[in-house]
Amino acid sequence: MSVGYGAVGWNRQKKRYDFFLVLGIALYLGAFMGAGAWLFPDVTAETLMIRAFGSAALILLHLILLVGPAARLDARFLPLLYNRRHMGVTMFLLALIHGSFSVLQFHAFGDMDPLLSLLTANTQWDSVSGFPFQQLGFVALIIFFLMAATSHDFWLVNLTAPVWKALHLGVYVAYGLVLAHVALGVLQAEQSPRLWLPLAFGFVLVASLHVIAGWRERACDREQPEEMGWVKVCSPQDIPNQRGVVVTVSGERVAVFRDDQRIMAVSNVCQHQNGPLGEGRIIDGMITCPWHGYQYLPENGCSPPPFTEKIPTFQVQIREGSIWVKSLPLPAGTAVEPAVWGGES
Amino acid sequence: MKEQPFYVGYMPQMEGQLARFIGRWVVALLVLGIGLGFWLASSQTRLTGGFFDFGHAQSFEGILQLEPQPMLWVQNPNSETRTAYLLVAPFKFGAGPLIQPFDNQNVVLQGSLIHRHGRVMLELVPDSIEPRGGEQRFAPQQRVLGQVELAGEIVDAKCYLGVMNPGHLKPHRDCAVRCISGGIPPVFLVRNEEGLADVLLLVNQQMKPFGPEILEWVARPMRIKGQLVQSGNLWLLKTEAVDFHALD
Repeated sequence: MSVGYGAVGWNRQKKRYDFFLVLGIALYLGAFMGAGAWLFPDVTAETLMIRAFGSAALILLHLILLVGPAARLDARFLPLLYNRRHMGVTMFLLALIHGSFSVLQFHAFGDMDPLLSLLTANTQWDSVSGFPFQQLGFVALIIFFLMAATSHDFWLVNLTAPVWKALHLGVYVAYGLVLAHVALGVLQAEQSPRLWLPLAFGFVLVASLHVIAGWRERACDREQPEEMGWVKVCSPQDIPNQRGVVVTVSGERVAVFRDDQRIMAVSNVCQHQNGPLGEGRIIDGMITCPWHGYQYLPENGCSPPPFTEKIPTFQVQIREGSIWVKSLPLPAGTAVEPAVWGGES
Repeated sequence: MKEQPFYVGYMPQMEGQLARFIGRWVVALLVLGIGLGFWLASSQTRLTGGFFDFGHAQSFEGILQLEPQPMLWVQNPNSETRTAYLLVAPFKFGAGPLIQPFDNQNVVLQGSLIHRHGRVMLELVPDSIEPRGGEQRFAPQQRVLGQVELAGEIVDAKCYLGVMNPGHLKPHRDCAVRCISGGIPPVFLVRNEEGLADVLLLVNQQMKPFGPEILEWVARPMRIKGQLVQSGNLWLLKTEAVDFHALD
């Protein structure tokens, strides 16, 4: 969390994260270009670089798309999600190098402006095998640029979380474009199963993890029956101390937390990146988002001063040994008296 | 419910069990990265042939000829015969405008060698052509070998012969379009039953270079009907765009 804006709010975890990210990319590029130069001495350096950086970006894109559902399915992957935006920006830079070299190699130094050539050299839109694959990669690169350029929290706050989130969901459109770019491009020439099988495997893995994670979440989206404006959640014993459960009330996910004997309910949606607060913990008396550690006081849904984020709160009661949550949320930042449970903590 | 460790990045230390879990995955991903690098690089199959002596210009003497494509007829050692070296300008441009003032003249020029499987090209150093007088015209012996219908792919001669590798097939299509549009000779890349490749210089029925009508056909699998002509050491395919048939 930060109240001001710096280029990067560095901490030990981010430095280690970026170190291993750069190390991994360097090892991949070294292995690809080293093996390529050794096995194919006639190959030009430009071709090796275009292919090495392009494939590195594609592999990193898969990793970026896998981390999200993996963390939904197993919270131990959350530390990999923590700094994912650095992975995204790095992936964009790799794709940019790939794209820049490709434009230089294939379109520059000729009788037409390189960008115009990129858009007009191949117009065989009615053919699958001849389809203009470079334009697909170009559009994907523009989406990646918009995402990288707005990845900072400054843009998240100024665009608002829903707009920012919608923009960044464009990664799935870009992923589809990149798959088509590869399948209709280099795989039209290099037809070895050793190349298209890993691509197919990557797609199946990304798709299936998303489907499985989505399926698991359906249980939490099951609407609870309402009685006189209140919804029964569970018994207080069902919530481990300083943890929460997620329940769907009137179509909205609500995070119900227990902090010793106190029971409190807030919106499940973190104001930062819509992270699932109900999967977080109460640390130092504050609900802590599992994604990036944004914190809120459970009594009023406000971030501790000097931070200004606020989330809606819900009234809570304990009746006949069960937790009941009022179905209508209170405005963000409204103080609510916690329900007090008399049982063992 | 099984209690799982909880960690966010600004906390000072990751709990040991979680750190070991993450550590194992990081090592696995690093190993996977190296493995994928080797795997994908070694899975490429179309990176062979071609040589470009980039940045190293040599002197060549011979007779310049503008049509059907710019070329230099260089005398073979100890022989009256000559070998054609196709000529191109730097980058994605043909050599026509550079050699036009010297058409059918004996010259010395500077160029960088590009060659593949015995087919030779020179990337001309601009303003390096010096007329030498002497023989003013060379008419290579031509043999008409008859009508043929061949399957192959139109590529630009410069990239295919060595400037790029690969200089053919779909990934190279846009570059080939740009090169041919800039005046680099289009050639028809054909393979025999053993897979050995050769290139035929494409010319129209008037033995002139093709215009922009050829661009939409570049780098597509296709068949061409035409007349096969041997001109010195070159193979020419005399044809028209109406005799192009797509195979994609």
